[in-house]
Amino acid sequence: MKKFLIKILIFLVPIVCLIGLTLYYYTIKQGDLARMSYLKISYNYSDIFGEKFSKEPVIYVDSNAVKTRKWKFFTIGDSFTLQGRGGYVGKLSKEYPHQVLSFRNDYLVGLNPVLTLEHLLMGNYFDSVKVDVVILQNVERYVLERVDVYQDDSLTFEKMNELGKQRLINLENILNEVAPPYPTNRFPHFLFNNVAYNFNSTGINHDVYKTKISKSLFSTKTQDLLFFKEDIEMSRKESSERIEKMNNRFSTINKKMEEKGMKLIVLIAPDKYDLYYPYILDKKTYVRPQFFELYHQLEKDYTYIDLFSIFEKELRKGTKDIYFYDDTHWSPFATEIVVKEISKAIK
Amino acid sequence: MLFNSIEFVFFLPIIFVLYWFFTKNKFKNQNILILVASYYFYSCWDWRFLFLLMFSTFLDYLTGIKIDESEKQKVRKFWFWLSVGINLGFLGVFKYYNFFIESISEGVSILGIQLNITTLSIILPVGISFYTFHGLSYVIDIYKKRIKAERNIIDYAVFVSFFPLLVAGPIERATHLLPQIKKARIFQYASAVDGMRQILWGLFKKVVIADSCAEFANIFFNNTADYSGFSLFVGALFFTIQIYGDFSGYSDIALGTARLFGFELLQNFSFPYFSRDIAEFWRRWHISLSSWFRDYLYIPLGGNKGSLWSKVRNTFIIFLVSGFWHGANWTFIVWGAINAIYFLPLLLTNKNRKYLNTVAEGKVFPSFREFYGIIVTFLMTVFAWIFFRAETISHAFLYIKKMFVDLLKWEVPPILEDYWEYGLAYFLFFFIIIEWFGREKRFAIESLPDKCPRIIRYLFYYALVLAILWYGGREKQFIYFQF
Repeated sequence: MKKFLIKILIFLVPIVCLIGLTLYYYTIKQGDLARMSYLKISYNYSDIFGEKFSKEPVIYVDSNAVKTRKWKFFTIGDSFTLQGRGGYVGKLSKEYPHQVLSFRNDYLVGLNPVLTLEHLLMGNYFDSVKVDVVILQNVERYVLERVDVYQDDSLTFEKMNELGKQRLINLENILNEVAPPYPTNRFPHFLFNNVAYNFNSTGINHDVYKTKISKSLFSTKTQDLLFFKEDIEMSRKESSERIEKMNNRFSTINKKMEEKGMKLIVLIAPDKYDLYYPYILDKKTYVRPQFFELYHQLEKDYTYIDLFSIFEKELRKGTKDIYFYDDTHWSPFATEIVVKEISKAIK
Repeated sequence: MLFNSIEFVFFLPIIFVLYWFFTKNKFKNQNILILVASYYFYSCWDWRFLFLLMFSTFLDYLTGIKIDESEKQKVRKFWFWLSVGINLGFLGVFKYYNFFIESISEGVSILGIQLNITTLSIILPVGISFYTFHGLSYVIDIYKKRIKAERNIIDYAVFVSFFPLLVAGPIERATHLLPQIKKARIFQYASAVDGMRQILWGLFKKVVIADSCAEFANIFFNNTADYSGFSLFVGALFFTIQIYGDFSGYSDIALGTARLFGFELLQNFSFPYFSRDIAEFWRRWHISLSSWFRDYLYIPLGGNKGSLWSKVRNTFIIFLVSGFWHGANWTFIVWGAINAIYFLPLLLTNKNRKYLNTVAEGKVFPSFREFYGIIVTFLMTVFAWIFFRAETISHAFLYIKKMFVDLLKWEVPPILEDYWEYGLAYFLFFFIIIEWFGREKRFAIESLPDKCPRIIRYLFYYALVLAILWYGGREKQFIYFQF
């Protein structure tokens, strides 16, 4: 019996160690790239941002306060807008208390902020809800796909109310659902990926690239960059025609907004790959994105905040953690800049 | 509580430690602990049906004693039929009531009569088909004077409720398991290690092979209209592998777990997909069920003795009942009928016991004839499994009809690229190889210590563990739990 128990315990030691290490490093504190790649990131990386994670309550479009007064800002976008950690909307809400109304991501039509804004304009939404400035945000890697989509429909204030009710029902259903069991595939992923990334830039999963950079641009011990695979995949589909089409679509939206007495501000969150590209050492493997180079050549009759150039400047100055090391999104340092630029743009 | 769940990972070692360290190797203490653990295990599914299990246990215990005590045939018959009637009655109500009512209503509606039927919203108690058959075999054996009634209620309850086999078998016989329950179990190192090995292999079969095949089988069976030809054939193949991996995997875990506690259970699967004909297949697939039907239904009906008509009748009865046992749906009955049609020619030409040894025994490769037999038998079972998996008869016919359209057009549907991408095809390939080379043993990796140096063995075990963790993560119910 003793021999059996000892043998089993010895056999289990590496498995228990693997489980322990994974549980220690793989936490919800980590960014999406860390979770997708299962890479061992410093446990305390996110602590460097301290109190900069926004804590301001965000007012959403389905709140009761919506119709009662005029709003200075209406924000609509993807995960860079309503971001779990340090999104710009929270900071904007702090700068302009009770003046920022935000569109929920789960109400987006086809996950498309551009299309959704057009539907809001076609409906009576902005006749019911008074807004000065609409901030339309899209991330670089998806914006060209989004402007390729057209759909004749409208979102009225009443429809938004219905969406709000449905959301509450969905939340209740989610709460009543049986919690899924623990995903044990985390453990072998952790083991294999942390080994594989030493030999391969995409590990086992091929969702996250890891490559060396020339400067220390993150508060980590290593000098490398993590980015999402679609940053590269989508950059291969860029063309001047598609970017021009995007520009024209924004122009059209702007005109419609001006008719309603509103101002449009366009934000395009640069892909992490694009922003940090100049510092990537292996230029042979990685294609140079051209999105902003082509976009900046075009005339714009709407307010566009050139975050790419602003962030580029910060990187040249050596500012660290403009984007999270372990996440595809911009950090609280960047969103502070975004809010400052928005304030400048409306003056 | 599933075998491949976190709860079981904690449950098993706790019971193991209590069993071997706190029962002082006295079988009475061991049995009490096993019984409590088994009832706890069962109540994790649904505590309400624990009372049904207890009632069924007590009923068979009592009727067994009454049958055993009486010399009068009338009295013995009374208690016997009381037990059979109540056991089958429970099974009939919980499992088959709605099926009968709806079938009668549909049948009568053909005559233009509409019946106002009331179906019952009943949850099927987990394992009812298994523990009912445990009890029935016990009562029948007493009635036939093959065994004496068990007087100790605890010992008998352990026989019925022993947690490794409680919810999905194997269906044990009192003559095999009760003697083991009635003596103290002494820890056997070799048996325990072998049991762990069997558990590991069973988990691999279930979590890696069966569950991954299930995902793809479900795509084709749930969206039959969107696919045709080769795709549907592949879907049927996936289900064929799924049901084997699922059920034999469960059996391996059950047998391995039992061995940790000093029990040897009946082997339930013996590499059925390497069978050379359908008769051999049925000697190797769900052995405990087919032997139960053979001993308690087929042989009492006359078996293969008697006239041609009685042979045909008995064969159909046993396969139809076996099909019906699996579920309250005409698809299972048709599946049984198909297997009866497969089996009959062999029986009637006295070739049903042609292959009693293992295929290519002692050799690496089968002969061409054996290989041909394996392939043909395998394809026959694939075809029959379509009915087993389909939701309705018409779904099965649609599946088959569409499968034969463009069957020879070997177009691989894009969804199968995922199968390759996630390495599942490699696991399946190695699984078949390992099963083949282990076919002469009780389970595929039983002889690993004899064939491999320790370091290779342990690397292999770790590879299995990592594969189980990799493809685990989501708990999926064992198919046979619905029976």
